[in-house]
Amino acid sequence: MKRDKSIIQRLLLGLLIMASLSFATLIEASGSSTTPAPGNRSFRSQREMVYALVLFDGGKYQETFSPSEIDTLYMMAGVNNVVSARKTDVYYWPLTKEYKADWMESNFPQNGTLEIMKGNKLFKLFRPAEYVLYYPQGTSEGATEVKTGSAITAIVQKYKSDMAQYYQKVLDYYKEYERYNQLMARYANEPQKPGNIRPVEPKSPNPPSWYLTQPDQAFLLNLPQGQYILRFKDQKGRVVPRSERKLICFGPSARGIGYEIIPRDKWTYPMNSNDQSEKILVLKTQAIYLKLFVELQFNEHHYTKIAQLASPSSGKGLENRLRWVHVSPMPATRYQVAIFKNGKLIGKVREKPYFVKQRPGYALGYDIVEFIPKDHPGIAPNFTAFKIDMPKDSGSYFLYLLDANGKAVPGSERNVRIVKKTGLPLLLSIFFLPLVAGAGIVGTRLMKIRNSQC
Amino acid sequence: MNIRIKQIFLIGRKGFHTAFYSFGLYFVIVIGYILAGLAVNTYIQTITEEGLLINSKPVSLPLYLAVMVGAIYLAIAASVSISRERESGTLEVLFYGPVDVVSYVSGKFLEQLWLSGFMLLFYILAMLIFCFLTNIGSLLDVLISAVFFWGLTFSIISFGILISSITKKIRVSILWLVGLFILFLAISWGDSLTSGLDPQVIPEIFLYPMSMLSILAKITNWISPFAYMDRGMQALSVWNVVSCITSLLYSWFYSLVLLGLAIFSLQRKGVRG
Repeated sequence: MKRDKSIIQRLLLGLLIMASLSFATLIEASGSSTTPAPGNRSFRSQREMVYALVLFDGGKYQETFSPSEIDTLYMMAGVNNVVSARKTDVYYWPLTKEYKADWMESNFPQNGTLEIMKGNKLFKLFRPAEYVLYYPQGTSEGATEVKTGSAITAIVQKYKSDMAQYYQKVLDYYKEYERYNQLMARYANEPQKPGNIRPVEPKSPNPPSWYLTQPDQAFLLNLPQGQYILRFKDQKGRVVPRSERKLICFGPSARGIGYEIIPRDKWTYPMNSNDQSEKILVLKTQAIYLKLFVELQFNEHHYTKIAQLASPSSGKGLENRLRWVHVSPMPATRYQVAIFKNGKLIGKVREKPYFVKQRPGYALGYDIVEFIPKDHPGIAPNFTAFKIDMPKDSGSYFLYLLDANGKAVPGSERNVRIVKKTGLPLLLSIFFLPLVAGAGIVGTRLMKIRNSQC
Repeated sequence: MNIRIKQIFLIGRKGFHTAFYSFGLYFVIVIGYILAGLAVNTYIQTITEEGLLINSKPVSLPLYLAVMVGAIYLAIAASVSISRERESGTLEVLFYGPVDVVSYVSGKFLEQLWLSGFMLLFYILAMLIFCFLTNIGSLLDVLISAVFFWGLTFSIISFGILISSITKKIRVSILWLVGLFILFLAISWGDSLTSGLDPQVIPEIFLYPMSMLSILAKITNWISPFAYMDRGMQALSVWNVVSCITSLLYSWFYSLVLLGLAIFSLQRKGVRG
């Protein structure tokens, strides 16, 4: 009877736990009021004021937005971040677990001012300012900059002029190409005719390698590290309902030197060494190529939010983790990489350009050779890096980056360990050690017992 | 010396001697050696195939696997030991003397700590041999990782003691312990497996169970002793000193709570089998 009672109690407890979990899941799954049925995008979307954000991540600008359901914004301190108030249709997309804005359908800029409060006091008031995003190396690579004020006029003029020149070159190219087609047709009719030379095909002009966005109006926030309250006021000076957000401005917790390491045998699969504590394990026959980066360390949660603010679950569990971010390549010409063993200098290397040469014929593979411009006319090197041939002796080595004065750059130290290739049978052969020890200990004990019984 | 401390040491020493002279302990160490050896071999394979490997503490994974096997064995051993003494009536006889619940539970915990320390000596030796053979790490790396993992095993050992204090029979105790270990690991692995999937390719029917699994994993993250080991391992693998210390403190606090619960359970349920 008592046993039955205990079983019933346990069953009830189990059911209670299951019910609580189901309830909690339902609450989480229900999300917000804007959660639509999957597959029906327009269903339950709602028009609201959001902040469209173009935030600096250390190298580039990332676009995201903050609907009213997201109550905290994250941005880097001490740099320009672009914030604009807009009205749009917002919906929750459960498949990717994030809020989306229907910018194509509705995108209405809001006029007013942005207030940054510290506690209950006004810290700074922002009015809309003109800006452009400047991509010096194009949109696909390199850093991005925000240009403001008088710099805009000059750079817009330069961009327009470069684009005009490019369009002119394109027009000239079409004309040349037309002429080329005519000459080619004439040549094709009588190719064997003496003095008939095959025409040279004109080369299409390259567009400007840099890019500039159209001038736009937004609030350009450049704030020191700290926690603030951000709110939007309309033209009549009234705080717009549901426009208030917590704002966390954060900065790097450390600066360092990051390496992108290209193994000779897999040059398309580089790996990163971001932290001084990381050891580089290689075989003695290997060669590695190092590329240098300036890197900054950030709180991983905050950093993730820069690009994925609209996803409520982004950055969860990363609140106490730090992350290194390669900010920009280092101008390596001024530096050398030095290798030490037991405090003694083994060698120094300088950065050089390299070219990946495919092996001819049926042989698969490639060779990485030093790039010499006269040997490879019209071709650019595949990469520039510091080449390090691993020493023949296995052991522990240290890499340092030396500046022009021969001093080690802080944060550039890395431990390189030359690993000996050891087979599995040899590694597993030591399992007899505890067996021998156990047999010895247990055997001695049994002997003692037997002797005492005798 | 305080009589209770004397009793704790006495109970600990007696249990340690029993395990020390049994062959099972050495057999478990061998399993740890094999797992550690396989992990080191995986490193060598990776370096050969990928050209290089970047890792803050390469010795930590092989050592972690060995320590984990040892800790699970010790948790089961602790659980069996208490249940056996209770089932056979030894515990009741013991409690007629000057032994009380606090000193008994503390003594059992101490016994397992000594045993895990003893096993660790073998693991350190194995790791040093691996380092000599392959050069994947240094003596300092091995010692730091070993001491750190020893601190983390407290959580698994105390979990075994708690389970044995709740159950009365050896068989039930082992079943509960192994069942819970499997459940914790299944939830944790299941969640990490499903959370890595692209949400766009998951059929809608799985979203609810996945959500349930995610909530269970969040709960398990605080009640499973493996979660405390995992946190420590992650902190060590990126060599974040603050996280290492925090994970160690979490593990010790968790152990204290479980030992407190074990004492409470024994006091409430009594020591009769």
